[in-house]
Amino acid sequence: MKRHFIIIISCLIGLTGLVVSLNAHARLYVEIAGGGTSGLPIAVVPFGFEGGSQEGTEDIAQVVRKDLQTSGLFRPISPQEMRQSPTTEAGVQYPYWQSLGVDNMVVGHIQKTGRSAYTVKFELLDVVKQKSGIPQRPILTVQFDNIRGNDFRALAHHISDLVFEKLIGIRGIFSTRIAYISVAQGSKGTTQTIEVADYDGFNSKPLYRSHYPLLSPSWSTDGKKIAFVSFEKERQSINVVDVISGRVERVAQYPGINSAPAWSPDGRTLALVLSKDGSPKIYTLDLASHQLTRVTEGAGADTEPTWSSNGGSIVFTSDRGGKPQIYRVTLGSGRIERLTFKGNYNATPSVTPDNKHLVTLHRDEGGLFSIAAHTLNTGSVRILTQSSLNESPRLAPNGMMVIYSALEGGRRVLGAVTLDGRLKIRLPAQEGDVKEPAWSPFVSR
Amino acid sequence: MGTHKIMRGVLNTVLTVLMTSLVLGLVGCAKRGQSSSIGGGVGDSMQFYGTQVSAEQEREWLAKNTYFFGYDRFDVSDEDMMSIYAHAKKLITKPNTRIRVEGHTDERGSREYNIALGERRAKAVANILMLKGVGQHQISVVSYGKEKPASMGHDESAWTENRRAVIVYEVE
Repeated sequence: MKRHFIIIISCLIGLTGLVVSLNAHARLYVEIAGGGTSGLPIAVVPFGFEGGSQEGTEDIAQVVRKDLQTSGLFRPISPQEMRQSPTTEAGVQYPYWQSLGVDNMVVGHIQKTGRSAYTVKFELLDVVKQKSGIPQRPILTVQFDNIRGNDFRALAHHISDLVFEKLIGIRGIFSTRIAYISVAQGSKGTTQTIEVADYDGFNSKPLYRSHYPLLSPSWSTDGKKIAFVSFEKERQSINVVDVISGRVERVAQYPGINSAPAWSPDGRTLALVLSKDGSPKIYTLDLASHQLTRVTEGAGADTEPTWSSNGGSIVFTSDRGGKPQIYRVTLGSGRIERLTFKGNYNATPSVTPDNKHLVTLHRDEGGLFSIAAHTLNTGSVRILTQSSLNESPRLAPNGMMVIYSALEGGRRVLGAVTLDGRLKIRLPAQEGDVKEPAWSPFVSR
Repeated sequence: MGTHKIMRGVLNTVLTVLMTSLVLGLVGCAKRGQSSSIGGGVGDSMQFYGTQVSAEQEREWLAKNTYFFGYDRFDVSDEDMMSIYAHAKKLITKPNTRIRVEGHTDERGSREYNIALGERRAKAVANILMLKGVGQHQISVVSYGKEKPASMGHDESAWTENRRAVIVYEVE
């Protein structure tokens, strides 16, 4: 039962069309900072290669191993531990792999079919259930045709997504991207740049640069645009940049605060914060009609709107009760409920797609700003990080990982942590500071 | 605790308003019997500041343009009041002058929530200017939150320098 897929990879890496030189200062690299010792043991065997030199192409198996490890749910064994290297199911001697203690394995091979065209095929196998001598039907067999050599990395992330979803039952985030803001001190002062990169920090590309501060990047639901805040000419404004063309459009510049844009799930509306009528309050802006609607009322500052997955309510930060805490307003009825009660400071809310968990920037009695996960129906709180100046937590689109910004040795770096707190990843830049990470939505398949 | 601080903030704003009305009231008393208009001329320094002020003293107050705040606070300290009055007097005397009042915070906490806190500081200064009679059209308020620190450090002394409001002359 072989399924044949032709994947149009270009949509995954649409940014390659952007003609900007790679600036080294903003590049990130992933390293596992803690945890990762638990998880399902899996062997991703180096892929075989037929028809010429493999030189210059990405090691697909290596990328898949790193992806699966980064999820915190897998423990891939190192290729040095493997004494055999089958490239198809037919070549697998199961007792050997059972002796290595792996539950599953991935085998695959690459065939050069043209000047710069390859066919890549992989199989996902169940090692535990295998009885000796009986040929196994793979859990998953997928073949990709007409793949270009420089798309191997994107293809590897896609293979990771397929393996992850097959074994875990939840969509993987390995083909998603992140946006963040890099800060560089130069001879002409500070430059801030919105950068877009693969979720693991690779392939970073500058998208928008300013000599004024940049803030709060927010992806549109289709992943094609990013709303952000800037301070050009010393006035705050909300702008939208097209991720492919780099074209920028200003969508709000009222007197006072114009901040915290957040795209509605249907992509038609931006939630935003304005203080033109007094205290900062939540508004919605219909992007087609430009109609502005005020959502919250009353005293205190309301900010950081974020939409529920069905678009029916907005979760936000407010200090209407004294200290900042998280509230939810139901659109239509205007009903408001408070969601956080633990900690004397909760801000920057982000809700998992199943609406069960809320992640916040959290301060407890000890005064540390940590990243916390609240379970909404019980009110229990789990602290995910333990350093003092964390900020800007944002959930991955599958709700399983949180990216945030931390201060480390006087520099702002990005980190990520699984929602269960078991695995931590660092994404430091080679130079300068990085802040304000934002996870893209899922890329359409 | 939180409510307490908010209350203190509110109390302070109320006090500022009361104090300002008191000053304006005194000006009114002094002027009784004459034609008077609030927001028009500034009168003499006794009338404007509530005390006799030398030109040198006034220059000193005008040279100051940065006002510091406590943690999570947005009440202007008493010693900064006269400097803000001096800027108010200058703005009233030169109605074509435009300023920007910037609000800033220290680096702790949410960037967006700090935008809100910074605006409270900038507005506290702008409100004093307007209560003294400066036209609203002469003032724009911008909060940078923690995005433009004056000190790049990550300790208490840097934070103290960064919690501030700044008057910047855009058109003089």
